[in-house]
Parts: sequence; structure tokens; C-alpha cells
Amino acid sequence: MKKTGRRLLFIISVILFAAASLLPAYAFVEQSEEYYVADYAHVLSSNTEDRIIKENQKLFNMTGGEIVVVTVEYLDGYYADEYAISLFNSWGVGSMERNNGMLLLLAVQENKAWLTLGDGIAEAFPPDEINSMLEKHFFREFDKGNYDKAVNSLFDKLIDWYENYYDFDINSTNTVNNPIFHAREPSPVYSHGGIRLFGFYPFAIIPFIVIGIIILAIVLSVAGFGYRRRYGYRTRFFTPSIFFFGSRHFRRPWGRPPGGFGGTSGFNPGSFRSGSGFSRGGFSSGKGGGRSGGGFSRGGRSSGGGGGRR
Amino acid sequence: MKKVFFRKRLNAIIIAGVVMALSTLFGINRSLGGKNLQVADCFNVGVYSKQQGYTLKSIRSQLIVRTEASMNTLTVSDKYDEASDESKALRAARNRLMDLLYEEEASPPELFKANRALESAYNNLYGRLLLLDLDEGDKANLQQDHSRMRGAASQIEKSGYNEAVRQYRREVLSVFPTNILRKFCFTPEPELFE
Repeated sequence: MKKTGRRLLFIISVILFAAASLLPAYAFVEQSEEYYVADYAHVLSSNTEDRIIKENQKLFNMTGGEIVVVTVEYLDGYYADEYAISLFNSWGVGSMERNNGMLLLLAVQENKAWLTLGDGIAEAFPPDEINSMLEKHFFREFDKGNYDKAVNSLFDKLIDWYENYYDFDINSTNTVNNPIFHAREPSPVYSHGGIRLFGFYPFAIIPFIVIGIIILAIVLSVAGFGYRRRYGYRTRFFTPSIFFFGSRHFRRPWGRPPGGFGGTSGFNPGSFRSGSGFSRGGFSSGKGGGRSGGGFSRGGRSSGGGGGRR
Repeated sequence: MKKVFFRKRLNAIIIAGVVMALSTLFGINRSLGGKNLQVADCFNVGVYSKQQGYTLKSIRSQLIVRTEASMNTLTVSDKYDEASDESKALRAARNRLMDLLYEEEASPPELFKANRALESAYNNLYGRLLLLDLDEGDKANLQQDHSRMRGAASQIEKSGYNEAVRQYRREVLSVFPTNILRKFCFTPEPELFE
């Protein structure tokens, strides 16, 4: 029986492997020789392609960032974001150190486009901003079929974004050997006072603790004051037990429940987030941080940030 | 005589009734005709999808892509005599579709039939070419065109044109009193691509 079972398993594996190898190959497009632009749909002019290549070379040397433009006719059954992310990760767009590349995919026969980003800049450029930029500077011309104009217009804005983010001028005379590093990215990172312990920033929750104490004090004082007024005796000010049991020392013998004001009055000490919930709020996750002392190497990755039409 | 005729109340009512009826029919013809054309034109310009916020590719544009892709396939197959019969059939089907596309009177059902004939001829030729020993460049071109044919077919299915026509028929043309009055308007209704 055991032998039969193993044989059966082997046969099934062979069949499955054969079936898989016979499946139609819905291949993604190959990276082009120019690297920065792959115009498989033949909708971009040579001037646009040259421009994309030249500006990307400067951008990469200065910041490690890249804006790769890919045009295809159809997505072969994939969603635009899936297709774009697959290309991004397989081609390794953007520098490995900063993970700050972008890939713009156009599927002209499907009226779809997607801009995907490296993880290093995904937080600085959220999907809402991307979609807004695409609506204003890209889709108007894209929908009219003016793909070349749409790409040019969006490319300008993306270069502007990099210039603002890294605080540099792409038209400056700095050469390849003098990359600019004074980025506004949070690489002195921890200047917000965050020392990481076990993956989160405990000092980041101090303001919330303070706010929580203030709220608690207010609530207790209101509860205490009301109590004072009604029953004419004092209560302690910061006694948590009063919340649940009423005043232990001043209860009337005929026992009107001092907890008439309700249990916790809506304040829950666990209501603010702890730990990793704060590590994202304005602090660097470390992915884009740090300074590199020299040139950049490619190998960016995207986990799904971006926007457009799927 | 004329003065007596126009002074009679009954005659005035009849004339008013006739004028009202004719103007109503005229109005319906104009508005319904305009709407019919608008829906029918979705075949050429695409259907706007409110949900997705943009206009989907039109069936006409995808049929043109299919004719281009089949032309490219023919340039590959012309090099191989073994596929000459299938090439002839595809060429004929393609020419038929091209004639209909550039003829203003062609209706969606006619284009649908021509597209199906093209699909059938293309599949025969593609299957034949796969069995032949093609060189690498031809193989790559064949696959690229196959991808375009498939992509265009998929976009035709997703174009939303048929759904738009059915919705229009259900929500406008079948509703009282349009369902009665439209018979007097002689306006062409949009046809389904099937």
C-alpha cells in the first residue's frame, strides 16, 4: 500500500509538472536595452525616450532614484498593479540602498496605467497623492490617446517630486563623481527622539500617555466634583477605584450606589496604540534612511505602493 | 367657408390635437433618435464606466487591432508554403472585416459575424504555424501577434457595449409610454454585438 501510495504520488507530480509546463506562457515583457524606457506599444517619440534616458542617468547618479517607463498594449490578463510590481521587482528599479525607484506602466489598449514605487519612498508619496498627480497631469492626455504628451507631463512632475524630496536641482552642474546627498529624508532619522527598542519607539507614546493622564484627571475630577456636590462629602481626586466601586470611605448607609455615574465613563487605558503603531507615524522605518558614501547600486523592491488604474 | 371652418370649436380642437400629436411624435423622434445614436456610438467610441471613472476601449478599435495583428501574422505565414491554404482563408476573412469596418452602414451583428470568421481563420493558421519549424524571429513575432489578438478579444468582451444596449432597452425603450410611441418614430435602435 505504501509503495502504491508513493507511486501514485509520483505519477500525480509528474502529471502536474507536465501540465504546468504546457500552460500558455503569459510572459511579462523583457527589460529593454535602454533600461529606463521600454516602449513596446510604440507610442513614445524618440525625443521623449532620449529625454527619459538622460534625465534618469542624472537622477540615478544624484539620488539613486529612477523613473522607468514601460508601455505595452495589453496586460495579458493581469491587473496593472500586479504587472507593474512584477516588472519593478524583477528589473530591480531604483537603488538598493534607498529603494527609491518608480515604474510607470501604460497599457494603451486597455486604457490602464499604474505608477509603482520602491518601498523607500512609498510613505513619502502615498497613493492619494499619486492618484491626484495622475488625474491632473497624466490621464487627461492619456484618455485622449496622447500618450507621448501624457508621459512627458507626468515625467516632469515626478522629476519635480524627486527634486523636492532630495532638495537638489537636476540641472545643476554636479557630475557623476559628485553625487549630492543632502536629502531631506529622515536619515538623521532619529532626530525626532526615537530610540528604537525591540522594534518600536517607546518614547513616542509619552505624549499620548500625558494626554491620557490629563483626560483621566478631567474625568475623575468631574466625577468627583459631581459626587461631592450630591452627597456633600469629599472624594479622592485620583482614585481609580472610585470609578468602579464608588467611594469606599464615604458611602451612605442606605447605599445609593455611588457608581451611578457609570463604570469607566468611556475612557479605556488601552485606547491608544502602542509599539509598532507609532513606528510608522513620521518616523523612518529605516528602509530609506542612512547615507551612502558613494555611487548607488540597483536593486530596488516594491511591496505594492502606488496608484493609477488597475 | 374658411372663416366658418376655423371658427368652429370642434375643428379647433381637432387641429390642436393633430398639432400636439405630431409635435409629440416629432419630439420623441428627435430625443429618442438622439439617444439611440448616442448608445449606438458606444460601439465606436467606447462605453464610459462610472465605476472605474474612464472610458473603456471601444469594440471598433479592438477590431482594428485584430485586423492589424492578423496582417502581421500573414506576413509571417507567407514565408511558409505549408500554411498557404490557411493564409488565404485568413486573408479573406480579414478583408471582409476591413470592408465592413470602413463601411458606414455595417451593423454590429454583421461585424460580429465577420469577427468570428476572422477568429476561426486565425486559429487555424496559428495552429498550423505552431506545427512548423519557424525561425526564432518568426516565433517571437507570432507570439506577439497572438498576444495582441487575445488581448483585443478580451477587451471586446469587457467593452460593456452589449450591457449598455441591454440596459438602454430595459430602462428606456421598454418603459411606458416610450414602448408604444417609439413604434411611430421610425428611429433605428442600437443593435447588440452578437
